[in-house]
Amino acid sequence: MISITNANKTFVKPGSRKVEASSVEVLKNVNLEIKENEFITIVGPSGCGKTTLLRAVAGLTKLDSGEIKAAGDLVTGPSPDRAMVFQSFALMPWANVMRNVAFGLEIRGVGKDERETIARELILAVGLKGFENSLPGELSGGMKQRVGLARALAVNPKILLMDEPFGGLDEQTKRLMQEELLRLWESQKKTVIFVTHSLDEAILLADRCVLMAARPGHITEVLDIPLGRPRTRDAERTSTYIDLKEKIWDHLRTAQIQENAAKGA
Amino acid sequence: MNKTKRYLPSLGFFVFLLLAWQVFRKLFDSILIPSTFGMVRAFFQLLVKGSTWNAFWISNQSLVLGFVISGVVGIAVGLLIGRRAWLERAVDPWLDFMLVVPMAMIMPALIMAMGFSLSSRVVIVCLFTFPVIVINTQAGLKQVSSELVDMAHVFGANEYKLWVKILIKGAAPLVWSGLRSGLGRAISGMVLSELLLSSVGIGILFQTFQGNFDPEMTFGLVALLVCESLLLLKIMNVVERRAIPWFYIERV
Repeated sequence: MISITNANKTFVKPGSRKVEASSVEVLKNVNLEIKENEFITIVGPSGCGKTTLLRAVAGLTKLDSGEIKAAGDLVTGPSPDRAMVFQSFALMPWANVMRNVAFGLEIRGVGKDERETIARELILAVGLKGFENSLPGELSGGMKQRVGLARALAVNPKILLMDEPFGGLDEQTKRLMQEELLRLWESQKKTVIFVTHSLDEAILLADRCVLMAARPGHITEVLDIPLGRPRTRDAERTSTYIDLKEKIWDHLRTAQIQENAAKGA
Repeated sequence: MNKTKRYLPSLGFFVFLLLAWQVFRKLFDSILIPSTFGMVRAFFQLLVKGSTWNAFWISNQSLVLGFVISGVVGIAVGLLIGRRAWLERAVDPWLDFMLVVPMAMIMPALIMAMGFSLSSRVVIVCLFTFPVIVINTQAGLKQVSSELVDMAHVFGANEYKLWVKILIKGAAPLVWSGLRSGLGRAISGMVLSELLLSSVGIGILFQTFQGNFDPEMTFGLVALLVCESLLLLKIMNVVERRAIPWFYIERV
């Protein structure tokens, strides 16, 4: 479904009188194949390139070299076929929930009645029934992210890209949202790439987990998550889960320590 | 708290000031300091005179025309330069110039060049108002989060839809802020041009009262101007709240 081949991206920071110009190899020779309807999580320390990789698949960031193919077509720019859920929600503060959820459909030119029907279904599915006319300013973080999720699902994308979507939420809301996402995904399977900092999310949600490290940004390992589907939170109590978590933490710890050392130096 | 209770403290303070003024006057006992009662009486005298309304009508033409032109052109320019860095670099120095140039010194020269017409007064009001509106519009455009722009691109918006559905709506609060400040400056511009030109409307009234050594009438005129300004600002406030209600909702 998605194939990333030899992805390379370097960010250049221009120098000034005081500081030399520097460049960061944010992605180096990244290769990854993702099957249809696979749920992939990407986990790694800050600066390992996970968000850049996600944005490259989204078409928001252009690679220096290499190519990304999604559903057979080369990725050249953003498209609602690769809908995105953003970490800071990216809701239009001037529009109510209905309008925000239906936004993708509105851009596409879908008629008002039709898009409101679709939006209403999704608003119900994410548990926001009754809040159709609320403004984002009146919603909590968890509710805002549900709107973001509903908006992404409304355009029926082939691929769902999620950029640390629950990062800004408190622990309880986060856990509830994880369970809801699992439930939703079971009912309408899609190919998902989910970037996260959280060890639990990396394992609980995924079919496979991609571990990345920085300097240069690259994939160190791709783990299979043999925890069976449909997945529930009970999976957290299995020894497979515990072993996986240990393994991922080992990787993260090393990578993070390296990162901290490099930044400090 | 109902409306009356809310305004009671400021109203009360105002009355207190008027009475304090009266006491102050008694202490200094000078005919050049207007009495409170005299000032209040002058205010109402002016209010009912037809010639006052006529003067205000003439003078406000420059305010209305100048503000509307500055608003329309200012917002257009602000939107244009907000997205193109090179345009911004080209226009910014001129905006700064318009902001800092000492109007009071330039105006007589301007009048000599353009005469005492309505056009020259409109130009003055525009000079006061235009830069503020442009700068605020520009800032409003810039503060639209790049994440929102990314989101719009992901969901298929082209440049036109991006502008209409995201950029203009996102810039709106600061644009309104600019219009509010612009209105204040436009009023200053109108008043200043009246004082320096004093050939029409309010300017003539002011000249007359000054010439007659009538501080009470002068005060009455100033009070009327202030009332008009407050009324205009209040109207702008109401319109703004209607236009961008989402900006003023109670945050959770």
